Amino acid sequence: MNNSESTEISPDRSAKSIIEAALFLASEPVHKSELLDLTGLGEEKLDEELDDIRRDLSHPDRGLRLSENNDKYCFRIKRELLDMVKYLAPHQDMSRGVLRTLSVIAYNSPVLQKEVVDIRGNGAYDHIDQLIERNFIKSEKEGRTKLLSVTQYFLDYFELNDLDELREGESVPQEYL
Amino acid sequence: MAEETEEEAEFAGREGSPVTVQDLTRPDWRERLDEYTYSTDPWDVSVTELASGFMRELDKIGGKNLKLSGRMVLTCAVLLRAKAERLGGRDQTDEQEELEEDLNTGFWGYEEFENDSYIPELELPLKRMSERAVTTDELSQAFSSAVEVYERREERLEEEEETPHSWGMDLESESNFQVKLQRLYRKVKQKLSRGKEVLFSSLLDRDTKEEKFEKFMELLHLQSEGKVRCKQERPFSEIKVELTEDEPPAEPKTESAQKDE
Repeated sequence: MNNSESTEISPDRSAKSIIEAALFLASEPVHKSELLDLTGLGEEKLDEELDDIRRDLSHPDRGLRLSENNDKYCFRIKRELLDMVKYLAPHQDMSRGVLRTLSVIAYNSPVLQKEVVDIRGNGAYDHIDQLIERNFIKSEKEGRTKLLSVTQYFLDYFELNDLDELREGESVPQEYL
Repeated sequence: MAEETEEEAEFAGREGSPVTVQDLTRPDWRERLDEYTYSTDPWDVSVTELASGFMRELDKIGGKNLKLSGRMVLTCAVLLRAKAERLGGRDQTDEQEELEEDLNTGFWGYEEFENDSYIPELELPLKRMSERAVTTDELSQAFSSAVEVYERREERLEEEEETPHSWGMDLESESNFQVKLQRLYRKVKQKLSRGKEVLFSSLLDRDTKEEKFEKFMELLHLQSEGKVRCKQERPFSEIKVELTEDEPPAEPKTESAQKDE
């Protein structure tokens, strides 16, 4: 290996480092279009870079994973490590109220919006909008109200195979399921 | 020297916030605040506790110590600023340097502060603000909490439904209310036999809000039935009650009738 090779940064590697820096620094998931602007890559090439990062991170020695949702990307801690290190970052990526509303929907999915609002109060309408925006839940028209259910992204986010895994917990108030 | 050691022991030994409102009453409050606030993490200082102590102190002294109030406002402002800067990840050394500058320029003195157009410079650091994913345990806890909140709300609503509102009258008992209306109407007529109009206050049995509300409601009913007319010359002035033209005043009571009643 000669000296010039070791110090030279290839254009591909540079794009990857920019993506990593952006995803590490951003407080919110970064949209694909933003990454395209930042790296100057074409979409196909960017997808390759993202796949490359995903592959790197999938190694058991790595603690992060690349999360994708609605063309937005961010780094997440691998689920199996989260309990160990979560005290270092006490702030969850959703507010307490939104989380409670999500829990009511998740444990009862599919559930009528009216029932969720009965339990959570009128503030739930705003929570539901946020959860739809973040692709945690979807809504379908059901008479004069809506039927809410969790999405595949919800299952991916919590690394669940299905909702039964969630409902098996002993601490869950069974009478409200 | 011995005195200093005692004071140090006092401050080192106390629990909770390292700064208390008593510190602000001392002549060397600026130095002490600097020492005990910025030698430690500003987040160790509870502004809430400090403010509560201040309120208690104000109660004791009757709210007349403007100097203490000024120091309190300034201390809280500086503490909040220090906390915000700590959150923003500012370098500790820079922070200490700036504080020293503040001290030298008299920023800590409330007298100087009044004439000083000091505006803290905001520098946004390039630092990641960590937010992590929610765990399934937290989702489960959130569900339990949502259920608890719901149950508490339901219980409260049930209690409210079971407890009748005490508005000074029993709205559910129509006959009881009618009896009260008749009694008040008689009273108005009796009072009017001694004059053209009667003052609302003279119709009250007790000088309480409930009694005033109850009697006023009854008067409004009498007025809507066309038996009396209420007048108020200006807002919040005495209400005067007069009989409508169709309703003659009652005959003056005889002594025996009064005894019967």
